[in-house]
Amino acid sequence: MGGKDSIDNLEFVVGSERKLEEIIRDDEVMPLLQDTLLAGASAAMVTDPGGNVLWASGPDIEGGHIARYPLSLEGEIVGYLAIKGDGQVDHLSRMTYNALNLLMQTNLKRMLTSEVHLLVLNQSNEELLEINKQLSASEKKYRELSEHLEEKVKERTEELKQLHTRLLQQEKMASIGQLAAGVAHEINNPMGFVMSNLNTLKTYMARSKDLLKLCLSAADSGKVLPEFGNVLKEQWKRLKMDVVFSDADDLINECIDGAERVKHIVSNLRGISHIDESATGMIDINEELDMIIDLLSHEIPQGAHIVKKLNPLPKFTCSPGLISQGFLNIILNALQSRSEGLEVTITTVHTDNNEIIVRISDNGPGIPDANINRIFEPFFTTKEVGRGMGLGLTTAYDIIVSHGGTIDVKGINGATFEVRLPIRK
Amino acid sequence: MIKHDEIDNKMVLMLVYYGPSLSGKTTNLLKLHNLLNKEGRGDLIVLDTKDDCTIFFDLLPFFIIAPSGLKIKLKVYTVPGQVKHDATRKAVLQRADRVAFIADSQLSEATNNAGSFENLEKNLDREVV
Repeated sequence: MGGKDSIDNLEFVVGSERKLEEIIRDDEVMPLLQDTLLAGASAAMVTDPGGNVLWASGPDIEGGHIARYPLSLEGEIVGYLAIKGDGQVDHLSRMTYNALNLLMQTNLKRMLTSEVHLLVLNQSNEELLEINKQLSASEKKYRELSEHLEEKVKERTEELKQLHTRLLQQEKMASIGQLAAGVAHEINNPMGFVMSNLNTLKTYMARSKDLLKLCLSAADSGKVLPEFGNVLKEQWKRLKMDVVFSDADDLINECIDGAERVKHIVSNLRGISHIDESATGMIDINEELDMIIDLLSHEIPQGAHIVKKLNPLPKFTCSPGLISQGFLNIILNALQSRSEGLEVTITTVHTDNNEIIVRISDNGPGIPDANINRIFEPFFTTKEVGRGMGLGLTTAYDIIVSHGGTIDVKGINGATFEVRLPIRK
Repeated sequence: MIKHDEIDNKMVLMLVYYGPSLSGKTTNLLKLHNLLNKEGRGDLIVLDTKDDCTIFFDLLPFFIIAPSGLKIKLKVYTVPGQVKHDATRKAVLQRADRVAFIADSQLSEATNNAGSFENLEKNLDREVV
């Protein structure tokens, strides 16, 4: 009855207090009482400690001889066995009592054992389930790992390859930059005295011209001996001194112009690898890009379309002049990629990695594979002779790298320059 | 928690004998059983044993009547001492009101005593409600 239900539902804990009806069941106790009747008793019953009948067999006759035994569980009386009949019933009832007692003790033991057993089973089961869960999780992880291993290796190899190419490129740029700076330095010194001497020569020339013109005018006015005056005039004509003097000025001026151009190139070259540590400041790159586009308005071909996709960016600490120079060079390169139907897109993004990305793409002819690794080299240009010096992208590259950034170029479907600048803490 | 039955004016206290295997937990219970007079105690319940070792537990209930008339029922349990029966030990320990640690008095058993006590601390931390 109660006892059995309780075991199934685990409603009690080990060793809780139990009543008689929780220990024995109807079908266990009733045959005992009925057999007692068959053996000669007139009635047999089991009551609780208060005398209430729990189980009974036979007619409830008043009076007569009654044998009564206390039923105890864990030393406490939980009920009574009462058997009616004549005097002979005492032996019989003793037997019934012993049988009932044994039943109770055995049932109690069985119940206690089951309780502990069930508790242990449940605990072990929970532990096993937990272990099983962990094992499944780790098995899944390893299976995934082994399935994607090849893919991962391929991915990593590709990454390494790219990194290696970039490293080579950087190294190449660094050595070219050093070479250029060295050459520039060496040219700069002789250029200094060439310039200075040319200027001096120009004044000397003017003075000589003045003196000779003075002689000539004296000869004209007959203030000198006619022999000398005639020879002078003759020689002046023969040597085409008028042409010489007018040409000499041009020659010297052209030399000075040329020397100045050389000086300009040299100073640009020095700028490439010798980024001056100019003052740093905080700028908004979006504003900077707007300014550059305004500045370059005269360079924008007619009918060109400039698309700006500028997302909010945090302030960027840099050398403002240099950074705008760098972007100006890249944008100028894009503007010159095509004369008709040009479309240049400028995109800015602030990434989760705290990087600023500036993407400048055009719909020009793109960059052939053969050139893509050379576009940042100094003096590399595909423009006609005299139109480009080949230093714009070199300077831009150097400026971006000096700010800890990178430039990636794609030459398919027009050219796309992607500049990544890390925001320094 | 100690159970108190106000109607019957009865209190039930569960005491658990804890300790290493063969340290004398069941022996102690048997001795206690023999010392108590028949009226004051219930029968000793010895669940299955194997080679003198308890597998489930033993139980001896006995009574003390306080001067106030309060009936105190003391149920003394033993746990299996063998290391492999840890799950059973935890089950019995779950509702213990008090624990008596039964150590083996032989010096050579000091390590086992310490191990069992550590196990008790661990199980109490985890299981006591």
